[in-house]
Amino acid sequence: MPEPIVDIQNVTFKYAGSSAPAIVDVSLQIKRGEVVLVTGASGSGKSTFCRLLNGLIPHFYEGEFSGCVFINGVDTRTIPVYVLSKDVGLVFQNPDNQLVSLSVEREIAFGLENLGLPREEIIKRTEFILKYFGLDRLRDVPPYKLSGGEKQRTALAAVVAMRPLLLVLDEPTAELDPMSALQLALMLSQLREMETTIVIVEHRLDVFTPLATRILVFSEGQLVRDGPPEEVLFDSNLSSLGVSTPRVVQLQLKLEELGIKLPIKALTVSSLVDQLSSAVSSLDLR
Amino acid sequence: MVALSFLAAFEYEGKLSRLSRVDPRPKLIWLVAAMVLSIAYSSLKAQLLIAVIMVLPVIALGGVASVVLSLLKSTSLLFAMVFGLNYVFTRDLSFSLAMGLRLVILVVCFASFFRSTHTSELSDLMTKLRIPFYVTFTFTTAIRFIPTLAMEAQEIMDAQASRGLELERGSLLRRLKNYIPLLVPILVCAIRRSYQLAEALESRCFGYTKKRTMAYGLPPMSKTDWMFLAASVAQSAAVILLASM
Ligand SMILES: Nc1ncnc2c1ncn2[C@@H]1O[C@H](COP(=O)(O)OP(=O)(O)OP(=O)(O)O)[C@@H](O)[C@H]1O
Ligand SMILES: [Mg+2]
Repeated sequence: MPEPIVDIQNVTFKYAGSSAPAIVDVSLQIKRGEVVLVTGASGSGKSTFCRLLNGLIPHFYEGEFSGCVFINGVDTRTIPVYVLSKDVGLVFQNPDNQLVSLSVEREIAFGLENLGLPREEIIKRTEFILKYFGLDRLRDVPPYKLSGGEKQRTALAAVVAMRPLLLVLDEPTAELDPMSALQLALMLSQLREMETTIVIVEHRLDVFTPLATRILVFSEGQLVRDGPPEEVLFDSNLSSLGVSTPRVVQLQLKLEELGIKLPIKALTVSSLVDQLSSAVSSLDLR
Repeated sequence: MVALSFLAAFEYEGKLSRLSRVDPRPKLIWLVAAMVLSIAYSSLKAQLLIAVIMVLPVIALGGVASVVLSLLKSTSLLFAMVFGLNYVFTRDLSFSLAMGLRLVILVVCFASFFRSTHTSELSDLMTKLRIPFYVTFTFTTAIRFIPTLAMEAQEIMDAQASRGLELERGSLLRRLKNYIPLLVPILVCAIRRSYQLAEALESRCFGYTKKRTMAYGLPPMSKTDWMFLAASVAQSAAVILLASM
């Protein structure tokens, strides 16, 4: 069995100066190629979880840390963030503070330059990524002149350019309109085909559920749900954890209440429509 | 906002004019030459020579005449002050005019340079001048975050104003005091931002290797760049020659 890319063992973390721990006794493993959707109410510890994955906790944030985090078999306490980040690409919640260069083009090259890659390789990758993310037109634009969505896209592009094994996105659609959020989901599904393991923190589950192989729900620092989307989302107690269930699922739960049970749990509108239409045609209404 | 429109005159315009396509190295040499000459000579004749021989052609090349005009408008008060004070103290009309003109030359030269040079060209220039990367990086980061911090400060000002804070009321002392409720949140936000920036830098492998690649740099100087350089040298020589005649 291949080694899991993330192995978290009994981790508890309390920020210095705060009274309650932000992460409480969390243990989990993530295998290569998984797409993990992380959700939970505001303040439930989702961003803190992201910081565990690239070593910002315990290296950058002070506090009480116990347990172990292994990334690709390496204990995060033993290597600095700037080395770990070669394998773990983290896109932060606030795009403004992670854009450090004077133009979009330089921003994408920044991480590659830090890695000391050969110049030709950097230019080649940067050009590819600019086109891939539709940022070609904006290459000379300084970050402060970008719209929120463009900032978000640039921040993501700059991290993807580094080809991390694990891509972690903290609320990537916070500044996106619904259309761009869908585009992002499409882009991520392409990355998934390139075998990138992806962790997405998100409130809006509708957009990313079709992509996810697994959903984690945090509540007050505890990992309270962990399983495939069909299992986690079809749970009528989910709203008490501050999670808004996708509409497709809500509809099926309502139907179930009415005594209508579909053979397969549908996660997308189209699969729900398929099932409903086959159910209707089997009734033979003519 | 006079101050903001003044700053806008120094903002990069995009690759619009012929001047912006000139390499920053010869442009820097031109800027330094014009500045040094303008400061070295104090006669009205020399200042006029500099303005006509060195500055006007570059303004033409930059296509920045309209910007220069608005710049002159916003600096007219400063010009009047410099001229007025010099005249009051020296009673020397031509000297006072020269000092006023010097100010205009300096401002216009700086504006022409910065309008036509992308900040990343500036950082490339610094790299070329063998300035260590951490200095260049500090410089570009500062430039990068000025607009962000300015916007944030504006937001804080608006928020405080909507809660009834009056900035432009009362005596000078009173007005200065009015700024205190702004200063604290602005500072706190800036400090928090600097932490988040440090965190983001580490997460992008900043410091991964001592041999960081500099993928971008100034391309080799073209024929036009060399011509610009030659012209700058010739202009300086002409100014020195004519001024000492
Ligand atoms: N830098 C910090 N210092 C101290 N406490 C912090 C810090 N960052 C977060 N916390 C606390 O840790 C807890 C979890 O915060 P976290 O940011 O991980 O939540 P979140 O799930 O990402 O919330 P949101 O959806 O609002 O982003 C919160 O109680 C928060 O106040
Ligand atoms: Mg968060």
